[in-house]
This record gives sequence, C-alpha cells and structure tokens, in this order.
Amino acid sequence: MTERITPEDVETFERLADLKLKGERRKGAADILSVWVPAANELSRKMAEPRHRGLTPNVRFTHPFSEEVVER
Amino acid sequence: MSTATRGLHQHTLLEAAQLVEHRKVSPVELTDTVLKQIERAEPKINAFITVLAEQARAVAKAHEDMISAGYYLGPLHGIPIALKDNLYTKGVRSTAGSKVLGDFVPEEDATVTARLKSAGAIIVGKTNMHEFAWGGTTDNPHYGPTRNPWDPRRFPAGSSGGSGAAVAARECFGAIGTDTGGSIRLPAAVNGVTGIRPTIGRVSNFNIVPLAWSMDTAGPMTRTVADCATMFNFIAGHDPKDEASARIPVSDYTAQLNRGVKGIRIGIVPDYFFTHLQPPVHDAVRGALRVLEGQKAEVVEVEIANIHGNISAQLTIESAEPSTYHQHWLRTRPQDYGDDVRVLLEVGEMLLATHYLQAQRYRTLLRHEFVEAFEHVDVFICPTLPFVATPVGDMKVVIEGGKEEDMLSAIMQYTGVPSLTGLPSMSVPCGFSPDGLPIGMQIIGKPFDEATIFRVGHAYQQATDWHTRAPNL
Repeated sequence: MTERITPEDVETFERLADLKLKGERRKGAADILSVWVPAANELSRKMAEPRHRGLTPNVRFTHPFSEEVVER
Repeated sequence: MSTATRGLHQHTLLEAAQLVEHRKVSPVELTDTVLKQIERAEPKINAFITVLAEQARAVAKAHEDMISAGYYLGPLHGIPIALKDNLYTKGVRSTAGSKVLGDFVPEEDATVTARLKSAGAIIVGKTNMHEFAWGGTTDNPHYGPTRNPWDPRRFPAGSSGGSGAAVAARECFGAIGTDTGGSIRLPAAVNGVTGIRPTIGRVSNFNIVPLAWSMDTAGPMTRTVADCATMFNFIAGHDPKDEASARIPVSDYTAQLNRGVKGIRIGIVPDYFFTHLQPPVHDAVRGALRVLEGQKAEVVEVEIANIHGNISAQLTIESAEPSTYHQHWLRTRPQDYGDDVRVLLEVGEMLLATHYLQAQRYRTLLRHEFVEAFEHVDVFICPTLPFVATPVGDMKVVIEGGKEEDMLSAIMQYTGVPSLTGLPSMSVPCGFSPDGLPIGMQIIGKPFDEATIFRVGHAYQQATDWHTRAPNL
C-alpha cells in the first residue's frame, strides 16, 4: 500500500490530536510523516511478529524503589 | 610546551588543575585568560548564549582565597567550565536555546550544576544549543547559529554544539552537554573533542529541561579522555531528586586509565558500522582500530541481527516524547518556536501510540542483543557519525553516491544505537578529513561500565595526537 501522507491526512490527524495547524504548515508535516510513518509501520510489523510477543516496552524508571543506598 | 610559551587557555583541564593545586596559577588568572579567549573567539563561533564574566571573576576570587587559606577541593577547583543552556543555573537565565524560556531564571540549580559548583568549578557561561535540544545542527533561530571553530562556515553539530565548539575553541576547560540521540557525541566528533554519554541513570537529569525523558542523559565534553573522566567523577552517582537515577555504585573513573588495552575485545558490526559512510570517516575509524590492535587489543566481528530499524525507533521516540512535553506551549505559543523544531513537535503528535510502544519494545530487543554480545566483547567501536561537518544551514547531507539525505536521520546512524539501548558511549577524535575537518569514533560500553570506555579511549590518546590539535581562531 502507498503510505504517502497528504496535507489532508494531516488535517485529520489534527482533529485526533486536538491541534490546529495553519494550512501552509500541513505540507511540511506531511513530507516528514511520509518518510517516518512507513518506517514506523515497518518496525511495527517486525515487532508484532509472534517471536517478539514476550518483549515489553522499555518505558520504565530504573531502580526507583531499591532499598540499597550507595554513598559516594 | 611550557606555561610561558602557550596561553593558559591552551592547557588541558588536568594541566590547569595541576597549576592551580601547586599555586603556580590562580583561579583568577585562569578565568581571566578564558574570558579573554571568549572575547576573541565569540564573534566567529557564537558558542555562548550567556557569558557570566563578572560573576565568574567574583567566584574565581573567592576560590583563590579558599585555596590560599588551604582549602583545596580537588581537580575542578578554580577551573573555568561552561554549561549547556538547558541546565538550570540558580539566578542565571536558562533558555534551553528557546524563546519560550527566554526569560526563565531558575530558583534552583540542576544537580549537575550543583555538584560542579561544590567541586569548585567556575561557570563562565551558558552555551548555545539547538532549540530545546531537538535537532543536530545548533542553527539556532533565536540566538544565532554556532559555528565550527575548525571552519566557521561549517556547523558544530548538536544539539550541544555550543559546548563542543567552546571546548574546541579553548573558551573553557570542559563543558557539560546533554545527549538524547547523539547530542554530546555528535558535536564532540565534528569539533575534535571528547564527550561521553553516560549509561541512562548514571548522571542525574534533575532540573535539566527534557527532550525525551526515556533517553535523556547529561555528560562532560573535554579535550582529553583523562579530563572527561575527571569531570565525570564529580557528576556521576545517585540523585534522590531524579526518579530515574540509578543506585549503582560509582567508581573512580580515572583509576583504570593507564591499564592499557591488552586483551580488550573490541566488537564491530561490519554490515552496519562500516557501510554507508564517507570514505575519510571509514578510513579514520579503521585506522583507529589498527592502532588499538597494535596495543594488543583484539577486534571481533559481531552480528546484531536487528540493528537495522534503529533510526525509525529513535525518531519515533524522540518525536513523541518532546511533543508530549511541549503540548501546552505548542498550542499557546507556537509562533515562539523556530520553524524546524515547531514542525517536529507537530509531527510528534501525529504518530500512533502503537508506533511509540513498538519502538519502545524494539529498544528491549536491541538491548538484549547488545547485552548478549557483551559476553564476547568488552566494548564496541564505530564511527560517531558517517560524515564530516556540513555547511551551516544545510538540512541535507550527501554521504555517498551523490544522493541527498535528510540530516536528522543521517546524523543518528550510529549514535542512535547507544541512545536506544541505554548503553554508555564516548566520542574520541580519531583523524581529520583531507580538508581539515575532525572525525570522531564512538566507543560503546556495557551498562554502567564507563570506566572501560575511558580506559580504551585514554589508551588510544596515548598513542595518537589528534586530540592535541587546536583550531586556528
């Protein structure tokens, strides 16, 4: 499928994001998204494969509740 | 060279520290020589947003009195340094390179700022940066572009371009940068200096204006690895004010500098590290590997099965997180952003949550692969970026085959890997292009093993002189 993002697509995204862009700004966003979204979708297809099902996102704080206290 | 035959500002941080410790030079003299160099160089390179001349002189005098009274605090005592302008400095404007925060004067220091002050460092100014750190050129629309001291027609990379240029131009003995996708290592490479991105959690991010919370780090930029390890000693360590700060013990990062690299296993990923890069960069990094092999290190070829795809993950995370942070200002003050950053913030609101979370799951996958590979190697070495400094203002770059590529994607080809995996990595000068532009190599280490990175980098600098060269300003 073609994943070229158009300024009209951007207008739709704006509604979803509750963000209002002026018309002339939509082309700039569309140009970037036309490169980034296909790459992001390709990565999503890879990560959606069953072999990766056990992987969790890396969004977490590191060590926030450790009882260990380290003094410099 | 002796103190008498070269300016004080030409010394390395540790050389200057020795002079201060032995009371051959005072903090006031050091600060004055640095401020004079700033006056000379700034019209050409614009590395600073704010120069704190009066305050720095006053602090230097206070430290001089302390040292005279026998209160010597260590190797940063009386040493003039610079801070990137996204670090909070109490009572001093901290803009993050933006108009949005153009009048922001913090009431409290960043933890990094406070630790450096406690060590006796003298802050001579706040350095220029890519607006809100969201970009790699330091072509700042509000404070002017920073220029590369090696060729002022060229960019200093970014986002810590002011810190990199200031160190290279001898406007300070060391500087602090921040690094999300490469923002310490990239300017270190193109300005011919050394800069380390620590393991995520190793250095506090408290009171540093964020770019992307899950990847942000802060670290030193200096002329030598030994200087870098010295500064790192003072900023590394747990900070209870930063929820993401690690409670992993710190070490003396200078202790292993002289152990050499005999027996060190250096990993390379040939089908990624040495493809799609400019020939001078390829040759310089290959040459550096030969130097280290000459010191009895072993180069090991490693496969990282899923390394391709990292740039997309990097861009997705690095756009979604800033867009979240900036959501209010983007709706209330959109005109106050530069055009390049504004469109990236807009775009970041249009990626899907599933894109973001698959990118974060990819980080886990890539980190697992690197952690497994570290059972067979001690460090990885690759180029810091695939090209040399481009002209100021360029948003495209040609790497090979005459094909223009988007700067933002191209510049993160190698630095994105440690950013995603949370691994520490340092850029070290390893050569120059035929037209005299610096080239950097990146040393990537195991989690929280910055000491081995410093050890390898220092061994390399003992065998080469790239890091000793200075631009003619």
